[in-house]
Order: sequence, then C-alpha cells, then structure tokens
Amino acid sequence: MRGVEHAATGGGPAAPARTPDTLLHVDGLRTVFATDAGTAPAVDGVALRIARGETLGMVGESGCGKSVTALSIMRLVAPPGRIVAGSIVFDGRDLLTLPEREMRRVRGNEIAMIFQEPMTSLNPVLTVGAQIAEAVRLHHRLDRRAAWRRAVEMLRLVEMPDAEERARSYPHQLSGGMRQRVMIAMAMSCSPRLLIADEPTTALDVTIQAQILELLADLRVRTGMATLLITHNLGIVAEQADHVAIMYAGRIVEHASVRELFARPLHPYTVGLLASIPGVGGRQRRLDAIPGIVPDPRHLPSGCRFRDRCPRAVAACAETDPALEEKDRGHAVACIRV
Amino acid sequence: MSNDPAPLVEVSDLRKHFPVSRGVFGTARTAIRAVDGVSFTIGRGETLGLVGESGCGKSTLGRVLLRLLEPTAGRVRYEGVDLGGLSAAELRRMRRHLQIIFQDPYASLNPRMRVGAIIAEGLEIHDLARGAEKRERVIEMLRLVGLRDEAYDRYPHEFSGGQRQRICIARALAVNPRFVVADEPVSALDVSVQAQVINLLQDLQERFDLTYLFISHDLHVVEHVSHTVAIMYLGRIVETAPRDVLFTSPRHPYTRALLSAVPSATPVGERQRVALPGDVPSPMHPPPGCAFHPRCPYAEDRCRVDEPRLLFGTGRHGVACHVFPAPGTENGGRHISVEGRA
Repeated sequence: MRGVEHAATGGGPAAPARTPDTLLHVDGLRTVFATDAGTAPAVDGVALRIARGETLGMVGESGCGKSVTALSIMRLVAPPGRIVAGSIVFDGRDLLTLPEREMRRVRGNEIAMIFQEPMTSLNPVLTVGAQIAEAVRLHHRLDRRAAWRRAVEMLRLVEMPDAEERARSYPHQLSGGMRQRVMIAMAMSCSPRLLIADEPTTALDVTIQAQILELLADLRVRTGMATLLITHNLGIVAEQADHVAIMYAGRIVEHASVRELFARPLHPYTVGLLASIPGVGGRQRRLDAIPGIVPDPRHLPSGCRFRDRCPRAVAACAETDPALEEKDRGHAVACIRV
Repeated sequence: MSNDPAPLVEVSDLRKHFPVSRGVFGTARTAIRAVDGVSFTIGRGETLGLVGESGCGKSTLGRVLLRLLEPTAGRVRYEGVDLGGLSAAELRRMRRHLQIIFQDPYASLNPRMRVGAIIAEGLEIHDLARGAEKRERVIEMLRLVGLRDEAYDRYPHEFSGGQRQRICIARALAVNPRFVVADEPVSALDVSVQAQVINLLQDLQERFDLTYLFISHDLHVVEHVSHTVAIMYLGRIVETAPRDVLFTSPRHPYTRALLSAVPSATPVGERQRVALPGDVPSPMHPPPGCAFHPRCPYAEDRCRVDEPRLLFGTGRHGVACHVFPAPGTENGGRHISVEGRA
C-alpha cells in the first residue's frame, strides 16, 4: 500500500515467537481514523502471529480495535480510516506493499473473511447458490454449470440440510444459522489458508452458535486452515482457540496459549475480564466488575491505557507506555507491574 | 393452606396470539402464538430468570405481564389484584409499581430530553413530587445508580452504553416500583460494564426488596442473578425450577441442550455436548404434540401427538416432557394452573 511508513520495530511491541511455521505475522500495525475532533488511532501498534493451521482467538470489548485489525489485514479499511504504519507479512509477503491487483488475489484465494451479520453481506435478490457460484468463478475457471455444482458441493461441506434445494433459496428464506453456513460455504469455496471470522456467532442463538462453532472446528481439521477468531466471548475462545490475544484500546495487552491464559492471566485487564464473567470462579454474590469505561481513542491517558481502571496502577504507569514483552515461554504481556 | 407468603406476581394460563393475514387477499387468517399458555409465580423480593432463544416469546411475555400488550387470554395477578379487571385509570395508578428496563439503552431514551427530565417524567405522571423536591429525588436517583449530579443537565448521547442503562434504571426506580421486568438489560453491554450493571441491579434489589422478572438469553447471567429459572421454547415454559436445581439437574432435553451449548470460559478439553439439530420452528406453525419433538433426540411416538403439560413434582421443579418428567410426578404430578401455586 502506498503511503505506509514502516514503523521502527526495534524497541516496539513484538508478538512472541512460538513456532518457525508462521503463516501471518503482524507487527507495529497502526490504523487511524480522521474525525472532526481529531485523529483516532483505532489500532495502535498491534503485533500478532498465527502459525499454519492454528486458531488465534482475539478478544476485546467494543471499540478496542479488533475488527479494524481484521479489516487492516484484508486491506479493506475504508476512508476516513487509513493504515499508517506496520507490516502484515502473510506467508513471506508483506500485504501492505502488494499492488491492489495482487491483493485481490490474496483476498478470497488465500484469506477469506466472515462477519457477524450474514444478511448484510448477502445479495437479497440472488439465490444463495448463484452467489456461491459467482464467488467460485471469480477464482476458478469453471463454466456456469460446473460452478453451480461446486456451489452445491460447498453447501454440503458446510452441512446445509437439503443442499441442492437450499441452493435455489434466497437469503431471506433462510434462518440466521443457515445464512452463516452460506457465508462459510462462500469463504471455503476458494480453500483459504487463513479464515478471519469476525464475531461469527454473535447474532445467533446459543444452540445455533454451537452448531456453527462445531462446523468451523470440523472444517479446520479437514482443511488445515488457520483461523483468526475475533470475539468478545471468552467462553468461545476457551473452547475453540489454540492461542489468545487480549486487546484493549488499540493494543494487544496479553498474548498466550489458551491453557496458559486461563490458568495464569497476567495483565490486570485480563484478570478483570475473567472475574467479571458470571459463573466463572465460583458463584459469588457480587461480580468483580472493572470500574470505569474504555477510554476515548482520541483522548488516551498517558502511559498505560488501562491505568485509570487498573487496581494495581502506580505512579510509574503514567510515565511509561508498556511494550508487549515475553514474560514466560510464549506468554507475553504489556504491563510494568507483572 | 400453604404457609408461604403470597407471591407478588401470579400468572395463569397467559396467552398472546398475534393475528397474521395470509394469502393474496389477506383473507386466510392465522396467528403467531407468541405466548401460549404460560403460568408461574414470583415471590416477593425474588428474581425469576426467564431464558429462551430469539422468537420464543420471552419479550412478549414481559410486555403482556405489564399489560403493555393486551393478553389474548389468561390472567396476571399482582398482589392478588387481577390486572385484567382494572379500569384504565386504576391500571395507570398500578403502573407506578410495575416498571420495565429494556435491552437497548440507546433506543429507549428520548435523545432530545435532558437526563433530569427523563428521570423526572414518571414522578410527574404519577404526581409523586414537584419543584425542588422533584429535583432532589432525581439527584438522589442519579447518585443511587452511580452517576454524578452533573448528569442532570446532560443529554443521553453524552453517555456510554453502560451509563445509559444506569439512566434507564434510575428512571424505572424513581417511582418506587415493587416489580421490575428487566428485558435483556445487559445484553447490549460489554462484559466489564455488564458486571457493573448486574451488581447495581442486585444491590438495588436487596435495598428496596424489589422483585424482578429477568429476561435473558445468557445462561451465565441468569444463573448469577436468579432465584428461580424458567426455560421457554416456542411460547411455552418447558421447565422451571429453583436456580440450583435447574443448573445441576435439568430434566427437559431442551434445557440440557441449552446448558451444554453455552461455551464455558474454562478450557477443560472436550466437553460432552448435546448437539441440537435444526432451527427453532416458526411460532406460526408450531409442530403438533410437543413443539420440541423435531429437534429432540429422545422423541417417542406420543411426543408427536400429545402435548406435554408442565407438571410439578417435588421441590418446585416443573417439566413439560413425556420422557423426562419432573422427579416426584410418578403419580401424576400437579399442574400449576389447576393447583394455583406449586
């Protein structure tokens, strides 16, 4: 991408190196939004790594920048948003330096994305089969009939009941769960090596959510694709991911294996998040809520962004902006107090 | 007679059907049975958690309960008074005791009114306070829900989602209600803020002896706040029990599937999951017999024909299932609308 200044990554935050088999390595990513009231850095120095076939869960509350990170990886950030620094190395190539024509080949062929609300990403006046077939033909040389057959095949892959018949349905004739299956079928039609799933089950009921999560897990095993699973639900991460990145106010504040993170959360924000979920850590009368609210990205506190809400903050937290540092094998945290 | 104190709210065989016109000329009429024969009681100072997936009728039930919607049939009694028998003026007076908090704190506050005026509205309608006293009461409410006095002169858009939900709670509580329907009150909030609002609702309940109907799709939240839990599926309650009983020994296959579908935030390897096939059927065409039978792994022939009634056995545990009835119903069990109270 033109106009990207590469951030000096020397002393900056770095995702822990876990495996040489890295598929995606994001470093120093900074995406800003120009607003009337000034520039808001939605993503501010994000670093993360996903190995081949691995699932990284990215957790954070609304506005923490997790969706913008995903869109940045796809290079789909729309103005007034702009990627201003960092690198996104996918399988050895920095996506931020690719010409748009090549980036289009990466999207869909190598990286696919599904969203929270499938209805808004489907064309209401085309049958779902036609839409999947269209996606197939964008990436493979197939005639109409073969593309249709492939579309039905994809619907079978995502365990759509009566796939052949459903292919002739319009989006509004399908339930929310079935629409998400259609989106997954479309994403899978080009056998991506990385699937970015942005809150894929948030709009669905729990029993349907369980079906979709099971399907995604099954597809990962069958195809060996890696997944960036973005969610606000720590329960989904606990079940589905290999590693977790916790995001707060545009930064990754903790990065660890799932087992490690839940057994030994280090960052006070992660500790607070886990304590504020009802039903975790026994049935206490009061939940340990994190006081206060997420800061406005245009007016971030000096030093550590979490310090206003942090029970362990000391004077030094206002001075230094903590970098993501590896404290233990594969367990990185951005906090001077741990 | 039972020596239990009388429940604050008694609902018997409540129904709400929405007529739908079908066909080219809109002649063929059918109905969505959003609430289809629901009975329960809520004790004073208690929370009944009502759980169900979208379209099961839980929000409609909350509204019919407060007569924000007219029921098609059935009865709601509040402190022994049948709400259906009240005149419009009597109902308006009663409203003071019955309040509701909605899911979306963005949509339920008038953006052109200042927060002080929003909270004072109920006081004016019910003529509970005027002038300086009114202002004092509003400030007291703001402090009660953890907002600063300055909020009085601000507009809703100046607040975050969690703060707006606090404004909604202040508005509901300003008139000193005894019963509050909380319809997904924390679903739109982030987890860290959600915990703040849940704590606030529980503190207020303790302080003012409030009775809640807490409607939610989030089983973790319901487990945390409820004394009793009712599970709804397609317009009916399929299981109800004291909180600990429901979460430790659920009987209905739908309840069990629902509990096992919730991802728990503790990675403990493989869990036993009762996978539930298919989608929730349309409440316009509920399946015959037990409405859950097309998705039920245990369905038998009678389930496809006979509709199971919610039968109570021992320990206030009621289940509407032929195959897994409530414990203690071997000799027939009790049906709540017949027995009055279980």
